[in-house]
Amino acid sequence: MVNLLPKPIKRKLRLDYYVRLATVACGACAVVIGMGIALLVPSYLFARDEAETTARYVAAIQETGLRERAGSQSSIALLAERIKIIKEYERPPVTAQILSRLEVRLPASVTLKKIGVRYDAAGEGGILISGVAGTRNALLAYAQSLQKENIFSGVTVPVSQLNADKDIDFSLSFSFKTAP
Amino acid sequence: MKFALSAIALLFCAAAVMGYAFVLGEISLSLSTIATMRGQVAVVERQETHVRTAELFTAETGALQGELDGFIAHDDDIVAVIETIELAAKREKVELSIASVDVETGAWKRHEPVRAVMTASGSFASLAAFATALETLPRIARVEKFGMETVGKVWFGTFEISFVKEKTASL
Repeated sequence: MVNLLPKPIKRKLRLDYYVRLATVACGACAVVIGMGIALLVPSYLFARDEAETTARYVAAIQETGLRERAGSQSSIALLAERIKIIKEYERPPVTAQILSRLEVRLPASVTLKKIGVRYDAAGEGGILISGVAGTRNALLAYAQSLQKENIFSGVTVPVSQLNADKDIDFSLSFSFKTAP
Repeated sequence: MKFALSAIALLFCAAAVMGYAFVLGEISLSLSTIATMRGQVAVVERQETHVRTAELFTAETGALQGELDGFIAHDDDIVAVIETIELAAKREKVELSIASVDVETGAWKRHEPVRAVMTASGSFASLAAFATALETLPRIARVEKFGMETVGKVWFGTFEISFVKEKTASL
């Protein structure tokens, strides 16, 4: 079959055809999308309502929770601080042990005049003793016997205190550490 | 006329697409909000569980905490602590004089250390026993340092102890 219409008319007819096709397609598309919107509207309303309800619920439980937390946090914090303090203050009683060992080891010719004890940590610290020793050997013997005590360490007689051979004014500084 | 109809159809189509995009966007936003809120609900519920556990712990250890409280000094029983020290001195036959009692700045939020400096005189054994008594005070306390010195048969001692006081509640 041969189309005998003139070329301009053929072109016009083809254009009309495409314009009508596009119009129908757009119309159909608008209708389909409109139906889609209509179907989505209930979901949209439900989701919005659910979001608002959840937000209100969260705000309410957060407010209640904050009040409850403040009370219990305060008492737990107080207890935690007290436990920390107890750990910090926990020290075994060592004074009697220190003093008795300083006294028991004392030779007859050595006299103690001053005793100073400083506690640095649990069962640890420094000791400073001073006194008069009858002889150089007595002082050295006292220092050695103190060194033998397992709680004392660093008991040494400074050479400068060995100048005199009798009635020596001495001063010893050493540390102590008791077994935990 | 036919072009006007096409333009109207095109406009309707564009409007429908925009409307669809808007509704879909809003739904997506609401879903995202719900997801976030549910996450927060889960967090708050976990916190609530912790709070309940803490409350239960506090209730169950109430008696023990009360006992523990007895070892901490309060504003109204500082004098009682000093009297305990004086009683220990009397028991150990030591002549005691309290030189100072000062509240110090500590690193704690709810408690503060109180430092008491005292001088004492007596025999060596008495002062040694007194030092031990200070170490075993029925309080959260510790001996920071002490010194003893003799003149003749009498020994003189300086003792520095620290005990813990609950901070005065601020108004």
